[in-house]
Amino acid sequence: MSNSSPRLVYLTDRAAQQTSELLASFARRRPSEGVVYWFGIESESFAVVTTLIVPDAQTGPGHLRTSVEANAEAIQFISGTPLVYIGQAHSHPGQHVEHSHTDDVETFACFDGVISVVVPRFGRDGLSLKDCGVYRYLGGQFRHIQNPQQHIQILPAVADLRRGKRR
Amino acid sequence: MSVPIEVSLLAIREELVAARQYATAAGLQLDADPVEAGEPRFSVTFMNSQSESFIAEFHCADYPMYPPTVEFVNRDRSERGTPRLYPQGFHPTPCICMRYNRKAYSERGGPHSDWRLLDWRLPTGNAHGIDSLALMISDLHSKILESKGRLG
Repeated sequence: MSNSSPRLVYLTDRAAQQTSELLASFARRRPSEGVVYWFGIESESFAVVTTLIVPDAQTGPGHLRTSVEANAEAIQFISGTPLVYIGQAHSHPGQHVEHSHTDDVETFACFDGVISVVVPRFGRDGLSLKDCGVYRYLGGQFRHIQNPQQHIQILPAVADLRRGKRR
Repeated sequence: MSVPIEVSLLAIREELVAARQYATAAGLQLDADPVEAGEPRFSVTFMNSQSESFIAEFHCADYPMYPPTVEFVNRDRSERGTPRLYPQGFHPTPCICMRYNRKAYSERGGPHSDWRLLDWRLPTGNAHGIDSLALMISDLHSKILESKGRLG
């Protein structure tokens, strides 16, 4: 992903829900942040998240780190496919969703267009973009996005339009 | 319909393994002495962002069919459920307004007439279901950690 105008990222509601479930799973036995990498398919103007990968991260109440080996393992998983790295979601313990300095400098991976979404309360309340911090790597650094709808949108994964379904 | 206390105690003891792990990792004090003595209740001491302590008692009669009654109490248990025992930010009833708290249901005097006790493990909205004692502790921990001061 190396476009001067960052691609709009699409995520299905199911992928959003699964992302928050995976983030919450880090905090089942102890208070712990979590991280999920988003991989998917790009066109010139947008990217669609298709695949969630949980790296073998070192995590704790106020931090998470991924080693070079853990990131390589994630990349290896998608090698030979058309999937590319689109960004990641990671959780914070409380309601604050600001990128920390560590998030700015250690987030995997930093190149233009990468999206980083910070999900509050360990992801337990689901992934609702209005409650999340949305950051984008632009011009050599992560920037807080004030208008997330122009950068990431959640689409329905399933629609059941059969008549008579709602009884 | 009620759950025999032996069944509740068995479920509580099993779940306390994970709950203790969580409490230890989070630096919380979990007192399960009453469970060891055959009573279906235990308590956890939490700290808010200003290092004020709050003791939540989980009374687990009829668990796991019904959720526990979770109530804030004082140290010697002579006072319970008063606003000053609650962290700021909780429902002013006062009440821990979550599906995992029996007190939150209207049939038990709580604000929620839209929830059924039997469905206490269900998620609310986009959130994930809180279906174990460890997750209840974890949920309260993160909420109390963010609060400042007391409700009353």
